Amino acid sequence: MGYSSSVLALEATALSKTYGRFLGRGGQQALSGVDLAVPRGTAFGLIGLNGAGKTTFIKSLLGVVHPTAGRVSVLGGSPSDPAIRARIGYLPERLHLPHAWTPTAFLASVARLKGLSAHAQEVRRQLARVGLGNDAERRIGGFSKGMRQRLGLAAALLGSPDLLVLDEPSDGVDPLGRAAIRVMLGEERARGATLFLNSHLLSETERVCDRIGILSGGRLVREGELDALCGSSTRWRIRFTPGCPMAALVALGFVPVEGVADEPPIFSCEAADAPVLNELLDQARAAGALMVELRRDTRDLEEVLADAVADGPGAAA
Amino acid sequence: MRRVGWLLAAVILLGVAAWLMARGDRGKGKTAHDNIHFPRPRSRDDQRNARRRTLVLPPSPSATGPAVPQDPLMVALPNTPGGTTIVFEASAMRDSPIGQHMVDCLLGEREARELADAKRDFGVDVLEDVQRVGHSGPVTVVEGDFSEATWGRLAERWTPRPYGSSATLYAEPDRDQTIAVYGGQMVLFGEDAAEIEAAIDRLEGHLPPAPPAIPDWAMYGDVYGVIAVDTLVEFLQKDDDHGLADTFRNAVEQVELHVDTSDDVAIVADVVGPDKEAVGDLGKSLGAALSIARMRAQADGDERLADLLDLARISPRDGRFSLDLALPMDFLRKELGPCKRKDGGRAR
Amino acid sequence: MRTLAVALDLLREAASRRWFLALGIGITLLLACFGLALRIEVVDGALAATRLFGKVLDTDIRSVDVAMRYVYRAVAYVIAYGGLLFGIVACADFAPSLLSPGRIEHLLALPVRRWELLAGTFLGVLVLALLGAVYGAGGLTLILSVKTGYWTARPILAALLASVTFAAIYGAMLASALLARSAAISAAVGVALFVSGIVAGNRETLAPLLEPGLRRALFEGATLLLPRVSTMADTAADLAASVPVDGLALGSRLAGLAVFALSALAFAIWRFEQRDF
Repeated sequence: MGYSSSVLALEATALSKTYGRFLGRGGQQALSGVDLAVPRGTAFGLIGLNGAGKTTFIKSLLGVVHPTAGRVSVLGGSPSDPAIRARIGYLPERLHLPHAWTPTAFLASVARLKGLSAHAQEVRRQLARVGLGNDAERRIGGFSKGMRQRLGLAAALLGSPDLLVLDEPSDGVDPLGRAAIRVMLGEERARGATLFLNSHLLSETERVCDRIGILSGGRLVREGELDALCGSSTRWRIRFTPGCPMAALVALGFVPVEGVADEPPIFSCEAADAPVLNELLDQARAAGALMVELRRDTRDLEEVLADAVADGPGAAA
Repeated sequence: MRRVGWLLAAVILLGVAAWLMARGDRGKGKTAHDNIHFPRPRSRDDQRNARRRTLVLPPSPSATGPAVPQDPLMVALPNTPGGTTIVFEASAMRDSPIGQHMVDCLLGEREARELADAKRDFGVDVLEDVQRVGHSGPVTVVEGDFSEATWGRLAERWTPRPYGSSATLYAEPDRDQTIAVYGGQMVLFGEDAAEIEAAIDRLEGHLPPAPPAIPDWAMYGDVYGVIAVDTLVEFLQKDDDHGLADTFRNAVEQVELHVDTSDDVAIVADVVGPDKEAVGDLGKSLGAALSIARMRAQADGDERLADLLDLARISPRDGRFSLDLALPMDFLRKELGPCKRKDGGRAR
Repeated sequence: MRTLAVALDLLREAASRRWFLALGIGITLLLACFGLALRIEVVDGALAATRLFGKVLDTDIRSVDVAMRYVYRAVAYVIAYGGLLFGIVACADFAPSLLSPGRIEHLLALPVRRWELLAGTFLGVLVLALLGAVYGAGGLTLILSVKTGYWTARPILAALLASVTFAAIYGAMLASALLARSAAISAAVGVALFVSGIVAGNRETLAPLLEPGLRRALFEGATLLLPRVSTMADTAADLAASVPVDGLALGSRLAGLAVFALSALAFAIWRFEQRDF
């Protein structure tokens, strides 16, 4: 992949995990030879269908699950090293919170276990960031799901970790709350932290992450930059006014795209760079077509996922 | 490897734990109080008492059923209400620590000579042949195996006369002392010859039957009987800091005593009186006195006495109470005084 | 040290569980009620009369410290046996709760070593049991001491002894929770060890009842490894009643129980270290 380990936040090499083996045989394979390198400072989104192995992969990063084969390195060290885990903030998919405690007490407990000294101010700060400042002394048992999720996020953010591993961070959070979370994650990235997300909300993943990995059947079937996976740097989508000369446009190299009836026709074209694109547009106008919309031709993540799962293991984009 | 280390540690630690716990599995040692046996009614005593009922008296004219065998010692001892009646089971006490101490006293030079004289003159080994000694009022009865005894030497100094069908009385001319030999099993002593004669009359059935001085159900322990209140008051007056003697005299009607001498001496005294409240108050006072004695023993460093006074208690029951008290041999030796053996050694 | 932090968190969690608080209040009320209802007359250091709820109790008149020994002996047995059983049931949930999904992953992702999590849980439960035993024994001792004027800390010593016994039993319960994450199974293991520990305490008496051979050898072998629950209860009662106790034997038994607890904890850590969550 070409990265040195000093610039990698995490690196997995031929990572495999089989559950339920007996005397080295049988069992269910959750991960199969996963190779992945995530540079520091990036926001990486891991997506896949249920049962693809995403949670197992995340747990392998944290030492919660022991790999059957392969190697995993996090922040330049082993996840079994407490000093490495001290620099990781983790939000599990289903975080268990003590019902009778207050958020302040819970975060103080996490801060103590993280080895943070003089943590009272840090606790207050993170509670305010996640919007729970006014509920700091309420019992957690009375919180909504979104509030509990935000509290879990606050726990992960304690101590300004170098790596944030978030499993479904926006689960149960309302749209405005999700927006607030995106802002927070952006702040963390700006601080230099690496984000590693697992989310079924692909729209959130698209908005937060700049690198994507797709797991299917325990294998990493796609991995790379978001733009590269979802779109093309040379393909464009153009909308012309109704009544445009279809044959002339096709002759120029514009490919009609199935559009919605009663809507102006949409075409796609290939243009290596801006001069080529503009030359094509000049030729279309000369043929009598009037352009009303121009944008890069990208797919959404859902389509990418569907294709990746259907195709099975393949080269990364 | 580190993970296997934990398993290895678990196995080794389990082995060490088993060894340590096994070391601690010593059998429960005897406590200091295991040799204290407070006398209580036991079937063994009942069987012993039943074996002794060998005297069949002629039935009284008013009796309807067959004659019931009686204990000859109990028949011989007069019933003295309000007085002291006490029986010592010499055969049981002989081998006890207190018995050994008293034997050591008897084996002092002078006493040893007297015992040797008794054996030579009368064929009686006091330490072996005597089984019981009973005392009631003016009469003392020694019961034992005197079948081999000869009383000829007694007749040299004391004036003999036959009495009844089996007894011979010996009276000392210058003193009011009478000795009676009854068959080969009893020797009676007393100052009042009439009382000795009455005892023999009872043994031979010439006098109407009277209730025994000590009832059957109260004949348990190595020493048992009834103590006269005056005798106890006299004993208490020696060290009476609490006015107990006076309270005793006023409240108590009878004190039934039982003593076990198998190891340290254990005493049970049942105290009865006409006024339940007075008896109750006496019990509390006695309890306080015992508590103070215990504290005094602790302060004096007499651990053994303090330890045994732990067992001392007053058990009040329906206007009467019983006192349990254990006395260590060391304390008794101190109180009774040292004795020298015949060979000049100190008493045990 | 993070082990202490885990232990303290467990104590906070216990304090937040309402029924623990209710139990503490209940014990306090019982003690207060007992203290108010008990009247003892002490005359010159002797227990003269005892009244409970106005009724005169049939007690012997003897030195108050001697009379109290029987009471303290009974208290020691209640704490030893009753306290153990209660502790088993009340604390069975802590280890399974630690391992619950959502909680264990979060904890394992923190910079806490796995053995520190287990050791902290074990330590927290022990402190909880110790506090409960000392509170009960201490409260009762305080009441009786004030009433009789006889002050002694021996019943509290007995409570400490019972706590060491509980440590051995809880170690096994913790290990069982690693094998099957269930409060019910954990409690069942505790009760089974409690009962078999009573048998083990009487192994020298019971072994001769079995025919010599394999059965007796198996019995002796199995009971050799078990904590001597009944022996420790008897020793606790003897201590409370001021009966002399063989110090060396007691030390050996205590050390054996402590090492048994450590053995169970080491086994639990071994299992915990290799387990996926």
